[in-house]
Amino acid sequence: MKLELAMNLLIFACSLAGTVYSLFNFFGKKKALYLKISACGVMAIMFSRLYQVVYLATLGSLNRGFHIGMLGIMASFMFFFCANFGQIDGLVDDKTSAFRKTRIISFLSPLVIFIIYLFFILNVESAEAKIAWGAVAFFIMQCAYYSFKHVIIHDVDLGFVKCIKKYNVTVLVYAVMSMLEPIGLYLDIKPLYAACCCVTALAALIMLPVLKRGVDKWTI
Amino acid sequence: MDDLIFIIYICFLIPMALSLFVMEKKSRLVVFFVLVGTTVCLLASELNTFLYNGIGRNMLYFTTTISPVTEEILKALPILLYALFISDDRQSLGQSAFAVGLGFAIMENVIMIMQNMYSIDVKWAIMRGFGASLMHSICTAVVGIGVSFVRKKKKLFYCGTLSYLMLAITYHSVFNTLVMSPHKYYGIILPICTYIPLLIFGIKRKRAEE
Repeated sequence: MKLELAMNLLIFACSLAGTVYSLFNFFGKKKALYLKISACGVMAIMFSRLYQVVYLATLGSLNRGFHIGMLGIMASFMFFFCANFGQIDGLVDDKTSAFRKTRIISFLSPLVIFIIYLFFILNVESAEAKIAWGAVAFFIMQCAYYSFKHVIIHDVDLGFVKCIKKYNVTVLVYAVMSMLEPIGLYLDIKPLYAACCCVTALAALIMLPVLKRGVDKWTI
Repeated sequence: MDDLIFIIYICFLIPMALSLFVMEKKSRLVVFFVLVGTTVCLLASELNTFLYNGIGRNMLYFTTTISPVTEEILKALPILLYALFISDDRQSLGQSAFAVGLGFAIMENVIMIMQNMYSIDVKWAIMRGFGASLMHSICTAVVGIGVSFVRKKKKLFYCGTLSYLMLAITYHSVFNTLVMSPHKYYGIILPICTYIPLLIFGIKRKRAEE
């Protein structure tokens, strides 16, 4: 439990730093909606981890099935998905056959998430945990699809997606770590759990500065 | 006791509803949504009682996991309807959402007072005022302002609204967890720490617009 608390605290601190950064840089007037929605994603990570920190520190261990912290994780992926799907995808993919190959290859990332989830349900006994993490996996998969698509897509016309490729890679890393983390936690593989949390914390910390650096090129 | 709660509700529903006809458009909107918030609170109270008896989990699980979900969904509904059918203007959506949260908090305070009449004091009232009341308003305002961001595009609207709702539920749950813990007075810190930056941001934005 101490490790769980320490790791959640670390992720909370890093996402808090990311949120504070976004408050100063992303919420001004005439800032792109894409930035604001992505910043809300990091904010969701922060509140999700804050919930877990508060619960672990004050009330003891978290419910091993569903807890509200999972809703925060789902929200973060929903925000990242929303930003990519609602704001950017229409600009780079005109739904013609030219991008069919990219669309098909993009299914690789949700497939990886699904395989990790499959490993989780085969090894974890709690039915409640399987259902709850299944819902989380669904949100991760749809986010991972668009993030991966925007990493591999050939963006020749506007260069929007090319500039934010690093950011999408960071989101992808966060997606994979979020799916590996419960495996470490439920199967009590402490090194895996700690490694996943540390990478998640790093991703939450650098995600928005990386995005800003990319978006700054949009105006050039 | 339940009847008394409804009597109090009717006592401020009727005069406030009548005052709507003589108010200016802006004030009318705010007062109307405060009333909506109080009504939503009564509905949430009934629904929570029903769910609590039905689910059969303990109070701690219920207040940290179930009630934030039901309350936030019910509070968000009038704001979503307003955004869908009347206006998606950010300022009026934000104000309306804050008013719904305010009305909800006022009614919740009434219910709490009625239920704990002999065990509460001024300290409790201050804690409720700065803690739960502010938290309800902030949660609904987050959904309202968030919806105004995503309302413009249909592609964004559904997933965006759901995301903001989930964010509000998580925030609400963090507060409830703090309040249910042995250090319940720390619960006051979270809404204040959120309200102050929001207030500064809002004032700065208003000045920039002027």
